[in-house]
Amino acid sequence: MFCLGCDVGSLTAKAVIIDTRNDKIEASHIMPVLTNAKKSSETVIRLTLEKAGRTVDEIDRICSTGYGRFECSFPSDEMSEISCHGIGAFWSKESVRTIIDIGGQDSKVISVDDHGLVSNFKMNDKCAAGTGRMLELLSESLGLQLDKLGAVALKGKGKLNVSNRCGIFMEMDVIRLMRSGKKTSEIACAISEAVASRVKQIVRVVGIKNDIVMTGGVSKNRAVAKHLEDILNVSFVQLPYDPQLMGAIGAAVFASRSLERNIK
Amino acid sequence: MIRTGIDVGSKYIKAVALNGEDRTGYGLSLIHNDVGKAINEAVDQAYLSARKETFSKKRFCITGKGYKRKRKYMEKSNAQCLARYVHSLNQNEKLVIDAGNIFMDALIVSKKGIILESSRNDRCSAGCGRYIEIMSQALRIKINEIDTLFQKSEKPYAIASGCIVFAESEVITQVNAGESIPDILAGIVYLVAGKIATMYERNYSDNTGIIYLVGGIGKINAIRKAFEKLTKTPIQISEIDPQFASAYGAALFAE
Repeated sequence: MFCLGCDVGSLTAKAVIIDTRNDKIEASHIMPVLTNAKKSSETVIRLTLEKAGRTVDEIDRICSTGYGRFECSFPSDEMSEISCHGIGAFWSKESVRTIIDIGGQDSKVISVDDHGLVSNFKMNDKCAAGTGRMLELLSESLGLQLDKLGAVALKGKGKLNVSNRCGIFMEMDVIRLMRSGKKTSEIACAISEAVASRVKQIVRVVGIKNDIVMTGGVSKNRAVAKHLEDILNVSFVQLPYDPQLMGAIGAAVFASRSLERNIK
Repeated sequence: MIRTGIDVGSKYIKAVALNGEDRTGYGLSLIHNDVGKAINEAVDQAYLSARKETFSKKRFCITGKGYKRKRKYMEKSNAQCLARYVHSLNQNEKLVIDAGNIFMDALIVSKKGIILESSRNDRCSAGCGRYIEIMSQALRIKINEIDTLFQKSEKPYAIASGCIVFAESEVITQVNAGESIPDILAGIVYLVAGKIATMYERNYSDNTGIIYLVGGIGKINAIRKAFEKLTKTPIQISEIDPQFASAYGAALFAE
């Protein structure tokens, strides 16, 4: 049997098909969001089905999550992205107890219990200074592509400081440092450090239990991940699947669980 | 003698040249990597409009941030310059709000021109110039279209957040959902005006104080109108372009 999880976030839409007979991921797809959540979900689901070589009739249950979960173009269950990231990471690796998820607009820290269910969480609610969209804006200011930012930042030695209070202050600091002729790698390194220190404030509230993983689009920025590991004095466990897919994987896991309940 | 005031902002350099007679010169340049050169560009422009060729003696005063002094300029803080400027306009106690690209400063200036209180947004830049700039980009409109479009709004949309990232996403969602552009824009204008109104009401809870709005945001009439609607208090009109208020105050110091 096949279950599909769809995660429409603020910047990207993700979908995953899980084969519940062997608990394996059959296909997945990540794409930038379109003009509205309905179109995004429809397209990402269609592209994932194409990759799997299946039609929507072969999918037994769909669950959607993320900002756009209420506008999914197919009949589906809905689940919050916090629960989905929790169960997604736990399903991928059972030893996981803490998840740091940094997405387009959110940075969340989620604690899960021995069943993968959320026991505590904290997220940014007023300020998006430590999030993916801010990294995107800052890399634009630096004249770098977002996917290059992490690699460039790793070359920096950490000699500079960028404010971590507000995205606009960060941007001004970046422009000021560029004007004073500082190296791009050093500025990129300072940006990663600022984002990591911002996320640390949320981590402090929830606390850390091992194993700890990083998910969401920003987990692909190796410099932010490295700085977070350093300031939290932890090492992140590597997941067997793309960490950006955890929300969609979690949604697919919830779909398969509700399918099991219905069958019983 | 020509008195020159220079204000180095986060985006623009503003220069004001007072020739002691009837003519005041203004110069504006976009800040770039060579700040010294950008300052000269603004000053040259100001001299040109103040007819500098008739003057041999020059006095300078500089304010703002981000400039390492190379020449012997007199330096004054932004607050001192603003207080000096508004005091030259009005000798009563007044509140000056300087709403620029990333900072919003509020100053209470006494009857004698002394700064009694000052505050600044030091944690968050919600509702400042850069916020308006990013939201305008998301709406695909130009800053100078704000006043015209604001007048077309019938039912302003209530924007939930002042954070650029959250608000940008909200604006894009509403545009895609077919909400009218003037109504979304009016929501942004009311959010900014609301920030200014909060600063005003914090100081004058009975809404009877005198308020001047300067800085780049002071140029946007829609924000003035929204503020006046929210507080039922008129914003005093400064005689000069509000973006040059600080530079003008600096020029008054350059004696």
